[in-house]
Amino acid sequence: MTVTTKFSKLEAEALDPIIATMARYAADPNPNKMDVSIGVYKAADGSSFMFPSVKMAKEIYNKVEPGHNYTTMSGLPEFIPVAQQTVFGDKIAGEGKLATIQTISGTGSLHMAMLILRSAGYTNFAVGTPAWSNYIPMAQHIGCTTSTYKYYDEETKTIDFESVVCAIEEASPKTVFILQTCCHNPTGADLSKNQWKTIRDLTINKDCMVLFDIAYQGFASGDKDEDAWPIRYFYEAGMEFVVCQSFSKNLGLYGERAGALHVVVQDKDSLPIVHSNMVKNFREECSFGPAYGARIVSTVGSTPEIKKVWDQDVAGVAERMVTMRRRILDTLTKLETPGKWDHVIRQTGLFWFSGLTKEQTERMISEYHIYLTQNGRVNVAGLNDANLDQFCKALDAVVRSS
Amino acid sequence: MQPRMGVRGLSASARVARWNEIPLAPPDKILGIAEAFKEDSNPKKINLGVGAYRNNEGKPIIFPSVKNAERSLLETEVEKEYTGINGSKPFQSIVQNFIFNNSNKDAAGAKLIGGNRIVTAQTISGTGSLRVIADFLVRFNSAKKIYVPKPTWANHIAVFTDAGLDAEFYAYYDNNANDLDFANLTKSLEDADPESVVLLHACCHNPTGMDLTPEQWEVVLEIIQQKKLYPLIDMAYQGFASGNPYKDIGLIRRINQLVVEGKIPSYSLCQSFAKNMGLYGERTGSISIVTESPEQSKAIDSQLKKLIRPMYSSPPIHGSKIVETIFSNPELLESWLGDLDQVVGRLNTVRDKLYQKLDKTNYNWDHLTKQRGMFVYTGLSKEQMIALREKYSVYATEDGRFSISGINDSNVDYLANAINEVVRDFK
Ligand SMILES: Cc1ncc(COP(=O)(O)O)c(C=O)c1O
Ligand SMILES: Cc1ncc(COP(=O)(O)O)c(C=O)c1O
Repeated sequence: MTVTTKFSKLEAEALDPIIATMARYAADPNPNKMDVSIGVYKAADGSSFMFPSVKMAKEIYNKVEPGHNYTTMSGLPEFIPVAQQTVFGDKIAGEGKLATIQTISGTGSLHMAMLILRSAGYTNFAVGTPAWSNYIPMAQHIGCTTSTYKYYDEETKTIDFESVVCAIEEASPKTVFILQTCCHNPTGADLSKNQWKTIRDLTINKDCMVLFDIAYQGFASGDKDEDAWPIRYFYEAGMEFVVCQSFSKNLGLYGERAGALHVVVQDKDSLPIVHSNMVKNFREECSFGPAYGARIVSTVGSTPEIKKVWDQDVAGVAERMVTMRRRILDTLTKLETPGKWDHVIRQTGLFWFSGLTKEQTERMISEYHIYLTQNGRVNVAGLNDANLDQFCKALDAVVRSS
Repeated sequence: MQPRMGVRGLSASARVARWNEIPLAPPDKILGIAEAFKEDSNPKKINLGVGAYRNNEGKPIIFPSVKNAERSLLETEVEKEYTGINGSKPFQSIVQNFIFNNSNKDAAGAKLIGGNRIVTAQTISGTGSLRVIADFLVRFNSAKKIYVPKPTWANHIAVFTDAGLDAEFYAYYDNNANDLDFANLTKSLEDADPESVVLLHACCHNPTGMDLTPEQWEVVLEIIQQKKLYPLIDMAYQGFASGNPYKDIGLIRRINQLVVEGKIPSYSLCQSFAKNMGLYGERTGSISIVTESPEQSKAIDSQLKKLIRPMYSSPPIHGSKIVETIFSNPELLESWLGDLDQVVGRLNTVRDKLYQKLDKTNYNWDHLTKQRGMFVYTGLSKEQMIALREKYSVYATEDGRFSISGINDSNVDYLANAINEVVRDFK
């Protein structure tokens, strides 16, 4: 060809590590292979799980046939109050201080949050490590800076709260702290109420911003209201902050991409200005949010009988994970696996940050066909009565021989 | 007093300053129209602002084929797990086969597919695909300038500019003649900075409804080769020109040929099922990049993933599952083609009716019969449009664009009369 290439700067990018792990899993012919990598909830029999509340909402959808029209650029109108009430509770949702748009699930919400924060002058994002792998690329994607601090201590297998406090105290102005509200990904180690109180006291007078990422609401305590406590607590102090909400996990709507961005604006005159900018940013990337997932969420949240079922669904998920965690600990104790393993029951949510090293993780995959993420994160929901022993024995063998 | 006032004795104002760097963003024009329309109490009011199909009763429809596909989906679906960052693989190959291979009617396109020279990613409908390609070009194309037709869909410029491209107009339409301004179109492309991106509407140009003939495309493609321009094709209305989606992609077939012949190295296509399946709100569309080599395809595929992951992780599945259901079932596919043909048929009937009822003594309305797609670009002035709204409660954008589907048997007389009146008043 005579033409010079248009895309000379291009090189192939390495696969995201989790995607690479999934690809290996898919290619593994072993019939007993086990996937405990990606953060998707599985039923007690190992199968995919459709929330009973979602099934009920789908039946209503089927009868009503709402069609596929464009919604509005801030989202499906009936979705917005449901999203707000879920995070903030009915009372706060009714106070008119929330600028909310529907987004492309939690990731899209984080992206829109970063954009609005950037236009408000907040251009540095502080990320506690280890963290969800997308935060830093997301900030970089829009040309913002990032700083990291230690969130989790591998030795004690708990939050390094001193380091968190220090990071806040020493943060440069206009820094955004991305804090996961519950079920921390990947560590499963959540801040206690007292720790949240300290963080609120530290941030209230500072020119910094808190971004609550709430992707697993309800999976820690089994109660969605309880899990949202930190957000409501900050609101009560009259603070301004942002909340990135996802229904991927707590309604099992992953691929439907249902989520929202909430910006708490104390000044009534500023609220429409902030909201108009959120809409503008969204319009320039997507125009409209996807309707179907939002319709399911709004039907679930606004139909009292279905809402009750949803509460039970979430409680059931949390309970199953607590049970599995207990059984992991019991089994490892029975096997007398060397080391301390009680962090498995101290951590909450889908993930157990096992502490297995990279080498041990690799051996779990190559010798035992058990696929966890490279950082030793185990999706507890991938375990069930049928495969728990297999998992624990493999872990025991790998730990013993290293 | 509100409790927040008491917290640590901070005044409210000390804590409300966080958002004050943000200026009010301009509202969307179409939305403004919808709101004003809602508030108008005139029972004869007509909304010609919406870009979505309405039937003869003025109601939105669900395509019967889509309804059937969705029914079977609701019954069979057992999970809603994430699709890939670039979307579902079956969806990607459906798009490639349907559009580039034209369902086995495009040999050049088939060659490109077979040679791994097309990279497709499912996106947040047409807007999302425009955004992804804009971000991609900002990162990897040597030139940052993009030429868009004057006029064009309002959001084109917003999306491209926000992504960091430098948008500039090329001549397209002559508002006095109510016709394509082909002489100036070619001239402005000849004057374009070499290697820039050029946006082409595949068919049913929005807002004018006026498309290039195959001969005119040939001239444009020649300039594109000479100036090494990078073609970015936006196809939001496939099927709305002829009623047949296979017939509306002449430009793509021709450009595929030129790529196979090595005359155009690469181009991109933004595509949406919003209009031609009525999937508007489900956000179902794609970006395809026709690359220079299979190796480059690999690199581009990985870069698209890298780009999309920090924007929204992965696209929504409901709409793409509907598309997959339709394309995997020959009966449903046939039924969809029929549905689409009917929709386009109604739009054309209404266009003719309106044309017949318009008074041609004061104004030449012949351009109406040449325009295609969901819109009529009337050529009415801003003053006339304001008069239509204030005196007759006819709502549409001030550039004189009517969305035809807002017109039906029960309002066409009223509308034609209103137009005839304002044309007379503002002669
Ligand atoms: C901590 C955290 N935040 C946000 C998300 C975003 O998820 P989604 O975009 O599916 O809502 C995830 C998903 O894994 C997550 O783990
Ligand atoms: C020319 C053109 N391109 C792209 C789009 C994007 O539409 P969507 O994002 O709904 O697919 C539209 C919608 O009106 C359009 O008119």
